[in-house]
Amino acid sequence: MAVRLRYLPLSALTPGMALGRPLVITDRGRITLRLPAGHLLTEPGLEQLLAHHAEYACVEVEDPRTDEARQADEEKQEARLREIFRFADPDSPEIAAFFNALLAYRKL
Amino acid sequence: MLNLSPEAILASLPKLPAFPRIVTQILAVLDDDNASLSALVNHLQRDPVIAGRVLSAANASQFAHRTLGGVSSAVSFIGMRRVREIVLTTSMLDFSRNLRVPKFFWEHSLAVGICTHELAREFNLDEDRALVAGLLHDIGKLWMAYLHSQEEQKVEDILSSQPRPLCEVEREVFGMDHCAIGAIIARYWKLPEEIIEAIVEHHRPNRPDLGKLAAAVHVAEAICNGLDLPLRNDNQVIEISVPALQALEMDWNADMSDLLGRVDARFQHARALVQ
Repeated sequence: MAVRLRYLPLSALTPGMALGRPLVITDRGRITLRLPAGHLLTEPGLEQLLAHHAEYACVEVEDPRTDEARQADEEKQEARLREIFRFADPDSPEIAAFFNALLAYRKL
Repeated sequence: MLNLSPEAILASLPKLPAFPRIVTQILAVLDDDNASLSALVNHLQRDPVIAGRVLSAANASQFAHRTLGGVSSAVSFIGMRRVREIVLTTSMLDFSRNLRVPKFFWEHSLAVGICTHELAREFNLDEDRALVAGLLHDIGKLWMAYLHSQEEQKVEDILSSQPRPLCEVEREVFGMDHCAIGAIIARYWKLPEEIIEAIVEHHRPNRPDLGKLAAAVHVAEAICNGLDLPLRNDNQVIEISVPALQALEMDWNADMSDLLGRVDARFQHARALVQ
């Protein structure tokens, strides 16, 4: 089964989920906890996140979509973003970079 | 055209619901975590409504088997910063909802507040001020919708038929735009100058000496519109200010998915909590 990345609040995380991206928790600019992508969450691990006042994590969830459905979703996201940016200057490098950053996230 | 004056706006402010005093107290006194713990707990214990909100939000952030029974345990489990964030957000949302404006207004304020807060964490700004500046950036628009709903609707109607800058149309209909009105309100509430600057500048942050907080609110609003937080057909991104990006030393060519994901998740979670 394919997977996709989802950002979830701590209350929605369950044991057995795998981190989709590294999790770095900081306090006043100091790193207090760092976990790598792929790390499997366990009950004690979730308690540890709580103790470090983590709020959210990026995890892998199953993606039941077919390739066609996935492509259709991505096209829909891009069309919506073009609608939102319809009055922006397409020649501005800042607008182009911002558009691409939003599109990369919306396609996750 | 209404041709509003600053004096007319000031005279109207007693008609607004009372501004939550705890917001200004947190901003003025409670900056230091160590010095402020007992002061914040004292405030919460004197206000059962806010204390209930903190506990409810704190419990919703925990795993299902844990229930926090008091303000002090909430502070120790979820942390002082998170409690301050909950108090600021719920107080400001209660205030916005008492204005009885359409849900989109306060959902948009919530999204921009959360996003400005995340930008503050990313770029080392004061987090409390960032949250409040984002939550209040459109306070002038809320004032317009609360006291002059017909004129506010006229602005919306003009914008739906022709692509023009929002503030320009507001100045045509009201004599002032929502940024200028918001600044008068924020000054009346004695909010810090940095927050007032963010309210004034969030639509035109092109000064080379732009403050970081004003830059963050401008960028946060663009991000929220780009992510449809909240979803509305006429969400738009027209410009992203170069001085704002420079003030934050922000580069969109870097991978921003983690920042955007945090904003998205926090907004969905907070919206569910306050509904």
